[in-house]
Amino acid sequence: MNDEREVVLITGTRKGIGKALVEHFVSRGAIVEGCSRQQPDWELEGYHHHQADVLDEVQVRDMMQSISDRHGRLDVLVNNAGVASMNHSLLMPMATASRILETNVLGVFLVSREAARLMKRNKYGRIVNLGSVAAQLRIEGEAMYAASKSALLSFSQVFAREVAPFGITCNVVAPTPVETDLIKSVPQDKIDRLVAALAVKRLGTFDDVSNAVEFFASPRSDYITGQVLYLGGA
Amino acid sequence: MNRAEMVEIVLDAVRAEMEAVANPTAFSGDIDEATPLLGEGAPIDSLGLVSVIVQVEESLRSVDGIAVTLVDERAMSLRNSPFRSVGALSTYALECAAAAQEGA
Repeated sequence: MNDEREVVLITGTRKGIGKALVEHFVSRGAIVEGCSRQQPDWELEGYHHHQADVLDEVQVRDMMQSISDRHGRLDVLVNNAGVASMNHSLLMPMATASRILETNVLGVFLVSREAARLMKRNKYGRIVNLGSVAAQLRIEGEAMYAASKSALLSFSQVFAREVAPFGITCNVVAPTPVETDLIKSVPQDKIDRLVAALAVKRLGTFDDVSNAVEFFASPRSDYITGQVLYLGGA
Repeated sequence: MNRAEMVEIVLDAVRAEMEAVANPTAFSGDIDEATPLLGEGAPIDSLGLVSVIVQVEESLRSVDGIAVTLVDERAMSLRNSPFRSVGALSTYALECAAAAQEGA
Protein backbone atom coordinates (compact mmCIF):
# COMPACT_ATOMS: atom_id res chain seq x y z
CA MET A 1 0.00 0.00 0.00
CA ASN A 2 1.28 3.48 -0.77
CA ASP A 3 1.29 6.46 1.59
CA GLU A 4 -2.05 7.86 0.52
CA ARG A 5 -4.97 7.82 2.95
CA GLU A 6 -6.56 4.41 3.23
CA VAL A 7 -9.89 3.91 1.49
CA VAL A 8 -12.20 1.77 3.62
CA LEU A 9 -15.62 0.38 2.74
CA ILE A 10 -17.92 -0.88 5.49
CA THR A 11 -21.31 -2.45 4.84
CA GLY A 12 -24.29 -2.06 7.14
CA THR A 13 -23.23 1.27 8.57
CA ARG A 14 -26.58 2.77 9.52
CA LYS A 15 -26.24 1.73 13.16
CA GLY A 16 -24.59 -0.63 15.62
CA ILE A 17 -21.18 -2.15 14.93
CA GLY A 18 -21.09 -0.74 11.40
CA LYS A 19 -21.56 2.82 12.60
CA ALA A 20 -18.96 2.30 15.34
CA LEU A 21 -16.49 1.00 12.76
CA VAL A 22 -17.09 4.08 10.61
CA GLU A 23 -16.27 6.30 13.59
CA HIS A 24 -13.17 4.24 14.32
CA PHE A 25 -11.71 4.41 10.82
CA VAL A 26 -12.62 8.08 10.33
CA SER A 27 -10.96 8.93 13.65
CA ARG A 28 -7.69 7.54 12.45
CA GLY A 29 -7.78 9.45 9.17
CA ALA A 30 -9.13 6.94 6.67
CA ILE A 31 -11.45 7.83 3.82
CA VAL A 32 -14.52 5.84 4.78
CA GLU A 33 -17.36 4.72 2.52
CA GLY A 34 -20.32 2.76 3.71
CA CYS A 35 -23.70 1.43 2.71
CA SER A 36 -27.04 0.35 4.01
CA ARG A 37 -30.45 -0.13 2.50
CA GLN A 38 -31.73 3.01 4.18
CA GLN A 39 -30.12 6.38 4.74
CA PRO A 40 -28.60 6.78 8.20
CA ASP A 41 -29.92 9.53 10.48
CA TRP A 42 -26.38 10.80 11.09
CA GLU A 43 -23.53 12.36 9.13
CA LEU A 44 -19.80 12.40 9.74
CA GLU A 45 -17.04 14.37 8.06
CA GLY A 46 -14.82 11.97 6.15
CA TYR A 47 -17.64 9.51 5.60
CA HIS A 48 -19.60 8.98 2.39
CA HIS A 49 -22.78 6.93 2.42
CA HIS A 50 -24.24 4.83 -0.39
CA GLN A 51 -27.84 3.73 -0.20
CA ALA A 52 -27.29 0.20 -1.46
CA ASP A 53 -28.51 -3.31 -0.75
CA VAL A 54 -25.67 -5.84 -0.49
CA LEU A 55 -27.85 -8.33 -2.36
CA ASP A 56 -28.42 -6.05 -5.35
CA GLU A 57 -25.73 -6.68 -7.97
CA VAL A 58 -26.33 -3.44 -9.85
CA GLN A 59 -26.29 -1.32 -6.70
CA VAL A 60 -23.12 -3.00 -5.41
CA ARG A 61 -21.37 -2.52 -8.77
CA ASP A 62 -22.44 1.11 -8.92
CA MET A 63 -21.07 1.67 -5.42
CA MET A 64 -17.70 0.17 -6.39
CA GLN A 65 -17.64 2.24 -9.57
CA SER A 66 -18.30 5.36 -7.51
CA ILE A 67 -15.44 4.47 -5.14
CA SER A 68 -13.18 3.75 -8.11
CA ASP A 69 -14.10 7.03 -9.83
CA ARG A 70 -13.52 9.17 -6.74
CA HIS A 71 -10.57 7.39 -5.08
CA GLY A 72 -9.14 5.08 -7.74
CA ARG A 73 -8.80 2.22 -5.31
CA LEU A 74 -10.12 0.35 -2.29
CA ASP A 75 -7.83 -0.82 0.51
CA VAL A 76 -10.10 -2.29 3.16
CA LEU A 77 -13.54 -3.90 3.05
CA VAL A 78 -15.42 -4.76 6.23
CA ASN A 79 -18.43 -6.96 5.53
CA ASN A 80 -20.54 -6.05 8.53
CA ALA A 81 -24.08 -6.04 7.10
CA GLY A 82 -26.05 -8.92 8.50
CA VAL A 83 -29.39 -9.98 9.84
CA ALA A 84 -30.25 -12.13 12.82
CA SER A 85 -33.47 -13.67 13.94
CA MET A 86 -33.71 -15.89 16.95
CA ASN A 87 -36.34 -18.57 16.72
CA HIS A 88 -36.71 -22.27 17.33
CA SER A 89 -36.13 -24.08 14.03
CA LEU A 90 -39.61 -25.62 14.19
CA LEU A 91 -41.04 -22.14 14.24
CA MET A 92 -38.63 -20.42 11.83
CA PRO A 93 -40.48 -18.97 8.83
CA MET A 94 -38.94 -19.94 5.50
CA ALA A 95 -38.81 -16.29 4.42
CA THR A 96 -36.82 -15.37 7.52
CA ALA A 97 -34.43 -18.28 7.05
CA SER A 98 -33.85 -17.24 3.43
CA ARG A 99 -33.27 -13.63 4.40
CA ILE A 100 -30.65 -14.65 6.97
CA LEU A 101 -28.76 -16.87 4.52
CA GLU A 102 -28.99 -14.43 1.63
CA THR A 103 -27.78 -11.38 3.53
CA ASN A 104 -25.16 -13.09 5.68
CA VAL A 105 -23.70 -15.29 2.94
CA LEU A 106 -24.63 -14.10 -0.55
CA GLY A 107 -24.33 -10.44 0.43
CA VAL A 108 -20.80 -11.03 1.68
CA PHE A 109 -19.95 -12.98 -1.47
CA LEU A 110 -21.25 -10.27 -3.79
CA VAL A 111 -19.56 -7.33 -2.07
CA SER A 112 -16.32 -9.30 -1.63
CA ARG A 113 -16.28 -10.27 -5.31
CA GLU A 114 -16.73 -6.72 -6.52
CA ALA A 115 -14.34 -5.27 -3.92
CA ALA A 116 -11.62 -7.78 -4.78
CA ARG A 117 -11.84 -6.76 -8.43
CA LEU A 118 -11.12 -3.18 -7.39
CA MET A 119 -8.42 -4.15 -4.87
CA LYS A 120 -6.72 -6.36 -7.45
CA ARG A 121 -5.70 -3.32 -9.49
CA ASN A 122 -3.28 -2.25 -6.75
CA LYS A 123 -2.44 -5.80 -5.74
CA TYR A 124 -3.45 -4.88 -2.22
CA GLY A 125 -6.53 -5.42 -0.13
CA ARG A 126 -7.80 -6.37 3.29
CA ILE A 127 -11.21 -8.00 3.62
CA VAL A 128 -12.58 -8.51 7.11
CA ASN A 129 -15.85 -10.38 7.48
CA LEU A 130 -17.95 -10.18 10.61
CA GLY A 131 -18.84 -13.66 11.81
CA SER A 132 -20.27 -14.58 15.17
CA VAL A 133 -19.51 -16.72 18.17
CA ALA A 134 -22.95 -18.24 17.46
CA ALA A 135 -21.26 -20.54 14.94
CA GLN A 136 -19.05 -21.83 17.74
CA LEU A 137 -21.39 -21.88 20.74
CA ARG A 138 -24.37 -23.67 19.17
CA ILE A 139 -27.04 -21.82 21.10
CA GLU A 140 -30.60 -23.12 20.64
CA GLY A 141 -32.72 -20.76 18.63
CA GLU A 142 -29.83 -19.63 16.45
CA ALA A 143 -29.70 -22.57 14.04
CA MET A 144 -30.09 -20.56 10.85
CA TYR A 145 -28.03 -17.60 12.07
CA ALA A 146 -25.22 -19.93 13.21
CA ALA A 147 -25.47 -21.84 9.91
CA SER A 148 -25.14 -18.61 7.97
CA LYS A 149 -22.07 -17.58 9.95
CA SER A 150 -20.53 -21.04 9.52
CA ALA A 151 -21.07 -20.70 5.79
CA LEU A 152 -19.49 -17.24 5.92
CA LEU A 153 -16.50 -18.78 7.64
CA SER A 154 -16.03 -21.47 4.98
CA PHE A 155 -16.51 -18.93 2.23
CA SER A 156 -13.92 -16.62 3.78
CA GLN A 157 -11.31 -19.35 4.12
CA VAL A 158 -11.63 -20.49 0.51
CA PHE A 159 -11.95 -16.95 -0.82
CA ALA A 160 -8.76 -16.08 1.07
CA ARG A 161 -6.88 -18.66 -0.97
CA GLU A 162 -8.43 -17.49 -4.22
CA VAL A 163 -7.48 -13.84 -3.77
CA ALA A 164 -4.10 -14.35 -2.08
CA PRO A 165 -2.27 -14.16 -5.45
CA PHE A 166 -3.70 -10.66 -5.86
CA GLY A 167 -2.26 -9.38 -2.58
CA ILE A 168 -5.63 -9.53 -0.86
CA THR A 169 -6.22 -11.09 2.55
CA CYS A 170 -9.58 -12.24 3.90
CA ASN A 171 -10.22 -12.95 7.56
CA VAL A 172 -13.12 -13.23 9.98
CA VAL A 173 -13.74 -11.44 13.25
CA ALA A 174 -16.36 -13.35 15.25
CA PRO A 175 -17.74 -11.06 17.94
CA THR A 176 -19.70 -11.99 21.00
CA PRO A 177 -23.03 -10.23 21.40
CA VAL A 178 -22.60 -6.47 21.61
CA GLU A 179 -25.37 -4.20 22.86
CA THR A 180 -26.95 -3.47 19.48
CA ASP A 181 -30.35 -3.63 17.84
CA LEU A 182 -29.39 -7.03 16.47
CA ILE A 183 -29.75 -8.64 19.89
CA LYS A 184 -32.40 -6.43 21.44
CA SER A 185 -35.06 -9.07 20.79
CA VAL A 186 -33.00 -11.89 22.26
CA PRO A 187 -34.29 -12.96 25.68
CA GLN A 188 -32.01 -12.01 28.57
CA ASP A 189 -31.65 -15.61 29.74
CA LYS A 190 -30.27 -16.57 26.32
CA ILE A 191 -27.76 -13.73 26.47
CA ASP A 192 -26.78 -14.77 30.01
CA ARG A 193 -26.18 -18.36 28.89
CA LEU A 194 -24.14 -17.20 25.93
CA VAL A 195 -21.97 -14.96 28.10
CA ALA A 196 -21.55 -17.80 30.61
CA ALA A 197 -20.07 -19.95 27.82
CA LEU A 198 -17.33 -17.39 27.13
CA ALA A 199 -13.92 -17.34 28.77
CA VAL A 200 -14.34 -13.61 29.44
CA LYS A 201 -17.78 -13.30 30.99
CA ARG A 202 -19.18 -10.08 29.66
CA LEU A 203 -20.84 -8.70 26.53
CA GLY A 204 -18.52 -7.33 23.90
CA THR A 205 -17.99 -3.66 23.19
CA PHE A 206 -17.61 -1.76 19.94
CA ASP A 207 -13.97 -1.20 20.85
CA ASP A 208 -13.41 -4.95 21.19
CA VAL A 209 -14.66 -5.39 17.64
CA SER A 210 -12.81 -2.45 16.06
CA ASN A 211 -9.58 -3.58 17.73
CA ALA A 212 -9.83 -7.02 16.11
CA VAL A 213 -10.91 -5.61 12.75
CA GLU A 214 -8.00 -3.18 12.84
CA PHE A 215 -5.58 -6.06 13.38
CA PHE A 216 -6.67 -7.86 10.22
CA ALA A 217 -6.99 -4.58 8.28
CA SER A 218 -3.44 -3.51 9.05
CA PRO A 219 -0.96 -3.39 6.16
CA ARG A 220 1.36 -5.37 8.45
CA SER A 221 -1.08 -8.31 8.46
CA ASP A 222 -0.17 -9.36 4.93
CA TYR A 223 0.89 -12.84 6.12
CA ILE A 224 -2.39 -13.49 7.92
CA THR A 225 -5.30 -14.77 5.87
CA GLY A 226 -8.13 -17.29 6.10
CA GLN A 227 -8.19 -16.92 9.87
CA VAL A 228 -10.99 -16.53 12.40
CA LEU A 229 -10.63 -14.50 15.56
CA TYR A 230 -13.27 -15.35 18.15
CA LEU A 231 -13.75 -12.64 20.73
CA GLY A 232 -14.35 -13.33 24.39
CA GLY A 233 -12.52 -16.64 24.27
CA ALA A 234 -15.42 -18.48 22.63
CA MET B 1 -17.93 -1.39 -31.02
CA ASN B 2 -16.61 -3.55 -33.83
CA ARG B 3 -14.81 -6.85 -33.70
CA ALA B 4 -11.34 -5.39 -34.25
CA GLU B 5 -11.80 -3.09 -31.24
CA MET B 6 -12.93 -6.01 -29.09
CA VAL B 7 -9.99 -8.14 -30.18
CA GLU B 8 -7.68 -5.30 -29.17
CA ILE B 9 -9.31 -5.08 -25.72
CA VAL B 10 -8.75 -8.82 -25.21
CA LEU B 11 -5.20 -8.68 -26.52
CA ASP B 12 -4.41 -5.75 -24.22
CA ALA B 13 -5.76 -7.73 -21.24
CA VAL B 14 -3.67 -10.79 -22.16
CA ARG B 15 -0.54 -8.69 -22.68
CA ALA B 16 -1.07 -6.94 -19.34
CA GLU B 17 -1.42 -10.28 -17.59
CA MET B 18 1.67 -11.68 -19.28
CA GLU B 19 3.65 -8.66 -18.11
CA ALA B 20 2.24 -8.82 -14.58
CA VAL B 21 3.16 -12.38 -13.70
CA ALA B 22 6.43 -12.98 -11.90
CA ASN B 23 7.15 -16.23 -13.72
CA PRO B 24 5.69 -15.99 -17.21
CA THR B 25 5.10 -19.24 -19.02
CA ALA B 26 7.60 -20.14 -21.67
CA PHE B 27 5.62 -18.48 -24.42
CA SER B 28 7.35 -17.06 -27.38
CA GLY B 29 6.03 -15.21 -30.33
CA ASP B 30 3.22 -12.77 -30.91
CA ILE B 31 -0.25 -13.23 -29.61
CA ASP B 32 -3.20 -12.97 -31.95
CA GLU B 33 -6.75 -14.23 -32.35
CA ALA B 34 -5.56 -17.82 -32.60
CA THR B 35 -3.66 -17.70 -29.33
CA PRO B 36 -5.18 -20.18 -26.86
CA LEU B 37 -6.17 -18.95 -23.41
CA LEU B 38 -6.68 -22.40 -21.91
CA GLY B 39 -4.44 -25.41 -21.62
CA GLU B 40 -1.23 -26.21 -23.38
CA GLY B 41 0.18 -23.43 -25.49
CA ALA B 42 -1.63 -20.71 -23.58
CA PRO B 43 0.54 -17.73 -22.57
CA ILE B 44 -1.31 -17.44 -19.24
CA ASP B 45 -2.36 -19.87 -16.52
CA SER B 46 -5.87 -20.41 -15.16
CA LEU B 47 -5.51 -17.61 -12.62
CA GLY B 48 -4.29 -15.39 -15.42
CA LEU B 49 -7.44 -16.17 -17.36
CA VAL B 50 -9.50 -14.98 -14.37
CA SER B 51 -7.58 -11.71 -14.49
CA VAL B 52 -8.05 -11.39 -18.27
CA ILE B 53 -11.81 -11.88 -18.00
CA VAL B 54 -12.04 -9.35 -15.16
CA GLN B 55 -9.92 -6.90 -17.17
CA VAL B 56 -12.06 -7.24 -20.31
CA GLU B 57 -15.22 -6.63 -18.26
CA GLU B 58 -13.63 -3.59 -16.63
CA SER B 59 -12.44 -2.19 -19.95
CA LEU B 60 -15.90 -2.49 -21.44
CA ARG B 61 -17.41 -0.80 -18.42
CA SER B 62 -14.88 2.00 -17.98
CA VAL B 63 -14.24 2.84 -21.64
CA ASP B 64 -17.58 2.11 -23.25
CA GLY B 65 -19.93 2.10 -20.27
CA ILE B 66 -21.07 -1.42 -21.08
CA ALA B 67 -21.74 -3.60 -18.04
CA VAL B 68 -21.32 -7.25 -18.98
CA THR B 69 -20.84 -10.45 -17.04
CA LEU B 70 -18.82 -12.78 -19.22
CA VAL B 71 -18.92 -15.81 -16.94
CA ASP B 72 -22.53 -16.83 -16.55
CA GLU B 73 -24.52 -20.03 -16.89
CA ARG B 74 -24.75 -19.62 -20.64
CA ALA B 75 -20.98 -19.33 -20.99
CA MET B 76 -20.46 -22.38 -18.79
CA SER B 77 -22.90 -24.50 -20.79
CA LEU B 78 -21.59 -23.76 -24.27
CA ARG B 79 -20.17 -26.83 -26.02
CA ASN B 80 -17.05 -24.89 -27.01
CA SER B 81 -15.69 -22.71 -24.24
CA PRO B 82 -15.87 -19.02 -25.15
CA PHE B 83 -12.61 -18.63 -23.24
CA ARG B 84 -10.58 -21.08 -25.31
CA SER B 85 -8.78 -18.46 -27.40
CA VAL B 86 -8.37 -14.74 -27.93
CA GLY B 87 -10.65 -14.92 -30.95
CA ALA B 88 -13.34 -16.95 -29.19
CA LEU B 89 -13.36 -14.64 -26.20
CA SER B 90 -13.55 -11.60 -28.50
CA THR B 91 -16.53 -13.07 -30.34
CA TYR B 92 -18.29 -13.97 -27.12
CA ALA B 93 -17.58 -10.62 -25.45
CA LEU B 94 -18.90 -8.84 -28.54
CA GLU B 95 -22.14 -10.84 -28.30
CA CYS B 96 -22.44 -10.06 -24.59
CA ALA B 97 -21.79 -6.36 -25.17
CA ALA B 98 -24.40 -6.22 -27.94
CA ALA B 99 -26.93 -7.98 -25.71
CA ALA B 100 -26.15 -5.60 -22.83
CA GLN B 101 -26.59 -2.57 -25.07
CA GLU B 102 -29.89 -3.88 -26.41
CA GLY B 103 -31.11 -4.49 -22.88
CA ALA B 104 -29.98 -1.09 -21.60
